[in-house]
Amino acid sequence: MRGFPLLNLLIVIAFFALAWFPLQHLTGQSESSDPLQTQQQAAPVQAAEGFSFRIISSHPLKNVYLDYLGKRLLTVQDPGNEAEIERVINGITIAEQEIEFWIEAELKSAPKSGERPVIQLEMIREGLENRPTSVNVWGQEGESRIETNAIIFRPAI
Amino acid sequence: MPKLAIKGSGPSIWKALILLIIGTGSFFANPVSSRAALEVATLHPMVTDLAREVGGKHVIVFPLMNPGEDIHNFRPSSTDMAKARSADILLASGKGLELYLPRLRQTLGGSTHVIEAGNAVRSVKLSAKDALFACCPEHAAGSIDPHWWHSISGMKRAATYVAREFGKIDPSNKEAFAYNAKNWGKQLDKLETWAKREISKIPRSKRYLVTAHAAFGYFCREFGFRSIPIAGPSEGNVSSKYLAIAIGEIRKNSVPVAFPEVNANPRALDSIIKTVGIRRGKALIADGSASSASTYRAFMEHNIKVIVSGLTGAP
Repeated sequence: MRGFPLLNLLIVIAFFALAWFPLQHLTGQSESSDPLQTQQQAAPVQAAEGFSFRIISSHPLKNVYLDYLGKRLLTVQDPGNEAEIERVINGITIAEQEIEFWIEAELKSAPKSGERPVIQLEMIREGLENRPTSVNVWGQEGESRIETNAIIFRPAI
Repeated sequence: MPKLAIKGSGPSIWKALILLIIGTGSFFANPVSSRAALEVATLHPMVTDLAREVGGKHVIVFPLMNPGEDIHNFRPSSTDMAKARSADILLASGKGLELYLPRLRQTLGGSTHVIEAGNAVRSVKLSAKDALFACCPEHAAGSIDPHWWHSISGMKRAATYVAREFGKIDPSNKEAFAYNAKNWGKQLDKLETWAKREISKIPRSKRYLVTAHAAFGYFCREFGFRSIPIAGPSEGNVSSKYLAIAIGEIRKNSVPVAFPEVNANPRALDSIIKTVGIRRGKALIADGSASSASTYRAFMEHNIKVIVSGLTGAP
């Protein structure tokens, strides 16, 4: 407005301020945003589901543990005479296509010298029981402990 | 049997003769064992550790390169050449890392056995696209990534190979070298188990390693990562084309963090971090040479802790 230079200046500044903050947010360059949080928010939200895990061991097991992303998912201690251990876990979110578990298992007794123990881990997605996916993991010769990663593909339609 | 009569000699001459025969026979049977230990000159801090672990008390190791030195710019001095000439073995990293090695071999002639530890490790080859981000123009031209020590399974193979080569040169200690290599292999098994357990905390879809230069090919192959190196061939020579490709990959894959490197100028990486708005992780040891981590175990533990905490956001 003519004759009101200070007011004109304030209006211009207000205009840019109104335009600036939304643009900052859109470009993702705001210093206050946490990149990790932004990444998680940008990823499609995966609903919690139920999965069955079946574990078959070449030798009788004393215990077996399954971790996912550093968190304990499954604990089985003293399974007795179960030839195949099967457990259902509901309400978990596994969004990955390639899923890496960490598996630790102790056998009841060490295998014979020259023998390597093996565990098969099978993953069954609720509603897709006819499409299990599995992986075999091997221990060291003559050793009663297995500690290794197990990479499995997400059961898909 | 008639007595051998030598005037004034007695039985001492027979004893001396017998000792002479035994000593001569021993010398020709095991010429190297007459020395205290094999002398091994080394050209990289990680192979220095390898030589010590495999050789044990049967070797004396002379590192020609110390932890913290730049492996790509190291050139042996005349003092280094003299040490190499006087050693029984020159242990190199290999895979073309030591560009001066062919010339050094010629200088040494046949007096020193040259062993390239990396010969035991399956090479990671740089594709034409990856070669843009190789550590330096000479290695890009060769198309083989020389940084094999980032693979724990590779180091185990190298230990077995070096033990066998040491044993050819010093047969009297062949079994000791094999035993040491097997023992160290068991320690590396434990290191590998720990490393895999830590890395399993990172979702496989998030395993992107943004670093200054292309030194992590073997690490990526071993642990399921994809490498996005940023710098081109050398400091001050970062092409805008390289930067654009790297920025595109970082944004496309929503990579949250970039890792600078010990002993490297972080300028190019810092400008990317600022442009894209990602976090700056702690520094990685890319070339296996850092004064703070002179053993293989310390080097791998450092890198894995830094990568896992950087990509999981854990402290």
